[in-house]
Amino acid sequence: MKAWTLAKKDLKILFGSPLAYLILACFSFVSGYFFLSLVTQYQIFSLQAMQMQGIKNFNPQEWIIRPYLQNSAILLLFFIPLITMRSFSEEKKLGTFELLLSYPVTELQIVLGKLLALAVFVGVALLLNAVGPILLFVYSAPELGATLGGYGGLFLLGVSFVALGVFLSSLTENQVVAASLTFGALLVLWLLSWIKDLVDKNYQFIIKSCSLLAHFDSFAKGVIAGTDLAYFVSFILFFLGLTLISLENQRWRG
Amino acid sequence: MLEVKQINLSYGSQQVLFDLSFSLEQGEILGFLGPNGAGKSSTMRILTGYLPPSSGEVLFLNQPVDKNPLFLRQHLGYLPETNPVYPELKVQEYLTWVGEVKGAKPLSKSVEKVMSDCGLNKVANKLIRNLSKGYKQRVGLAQALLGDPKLIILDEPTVGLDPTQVREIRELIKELGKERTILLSTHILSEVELLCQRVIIINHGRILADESLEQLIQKMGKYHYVLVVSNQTKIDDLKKSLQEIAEITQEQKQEQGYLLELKSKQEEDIRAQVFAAVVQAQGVLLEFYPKRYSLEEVFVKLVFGGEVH
Repeated sequence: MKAWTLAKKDLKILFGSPLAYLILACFSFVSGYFFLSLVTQYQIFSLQAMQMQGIKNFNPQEWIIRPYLQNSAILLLFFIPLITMRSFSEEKKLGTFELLLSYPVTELQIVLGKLLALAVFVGVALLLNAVGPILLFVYSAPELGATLGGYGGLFLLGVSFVALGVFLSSLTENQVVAASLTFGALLVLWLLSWIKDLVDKNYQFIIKSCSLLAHFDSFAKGVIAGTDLAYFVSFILFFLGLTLISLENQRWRG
Repeated sequence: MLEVKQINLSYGSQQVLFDLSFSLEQGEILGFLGPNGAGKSSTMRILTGYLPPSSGEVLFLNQPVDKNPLFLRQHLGYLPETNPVYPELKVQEYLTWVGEVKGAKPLSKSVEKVMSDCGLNKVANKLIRNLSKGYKQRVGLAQALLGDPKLIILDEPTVGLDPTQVREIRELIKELGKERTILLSTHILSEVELLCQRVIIINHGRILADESLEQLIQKMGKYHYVLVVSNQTKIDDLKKSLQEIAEITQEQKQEQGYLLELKSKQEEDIRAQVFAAVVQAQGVLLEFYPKRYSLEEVFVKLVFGGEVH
């Protein structure tokens, strides 16, 4: 409950500033563009598909929703550093962090509050992102379960990005440094999935298990695998723990 | 209520606080004085549990703060020196949130009360960003008072306020001090004289004095005397005989006679000798009293006179 009270303050500040709306607008615009081009592409291909028999899995699920979810995941990677950058950096710069710790709340509640507020933001962004697929349900018949599973995965992915971003912002008072670090780290985690084919077959699993987006692939297909779920949950918990340690450690150093 | 036991604090190789020990009794307003960089704010941070000391411990109601920080936080009202507030929130919105976090009950009543106590009703719906420094300071004070804290720690609460506001806030602090325990860190000596029963003076991380204001002033003025003798006194003879037992720190010709300030050389009671000397110099003793220092003089003497308590 305390964590939610703390999160409410962050949400008020976040949605009281133009930044949140700017980011949401950009995110919706770019994802809308992706959606539009995927639908157009599908229309063109569907004419050809009628003439040629035997294209496997030619349906809106495989051709629109799955690539759309994957594109949205990349988009989150670009936008999330912009909202996580201020979480602890700003509190430390203003000095409000010290004041926060004089209130009857624990460090864990403070970190959870931050995560919670940003998770709500990711939720709002994904709701806007889902407008396209919802329209698709009106005019076509994609699979509901698979789409919902995909969005669940996208949400988990977003919160994982947030957990990493919150940790990195706890390291510095400077928001720009926090954002750059987060963006760099997320980019490396993404690029890992690109080089997985270059590595020796025996070691591929290491790369694959490190890459966040590789774990998202099965969600995009609409498969909720236990390992992927466990991966995201432990990723979030890991960075939550690191944030706690980092905050504690900095107080010791004064 | 609050007990500080032999606190040391070092940042790397630099030691900031040396063996600080003091205690704070229930219902007391304690003034915490020291020049810039004396270690006041570091001490405040240790007391609130934000900064762990390098050694020593702080007990709040007999509970160690480092082991049970939440217990202290439930009863603490704290206004840090920098007065950190969220500029993006409105005054009432912010205070309601603080009340909720601190578990103030009933919420809207307590928020209303601190807002009227601190004179914030006029700006309730303004963004904190747009407030003047004085109003921001009041918001900081208001958040500290929310949730009925037993212990209130204020780090320079009247900085940036205009004279009437300063008076109002001091009245408020005085009023609060009747029931709550307040630790007041400040540069403003007159504030301490007005509000505090007891003062602690620190410099370079060491406590120079820890006693009641009255005791401190008396002690500093001990064996210092002021006397006024009549015009017909043979002043040179008098000075000569006085110089054997005391140091004459000030001499002034007045309308009715001469004013002299004496400091005993041997740190002893020299009143009888002084009286005899005046009689010998054929003078009349018009006034004779122990010198009374102002807190400011005491402070300057302690901090810059190199005297260690």
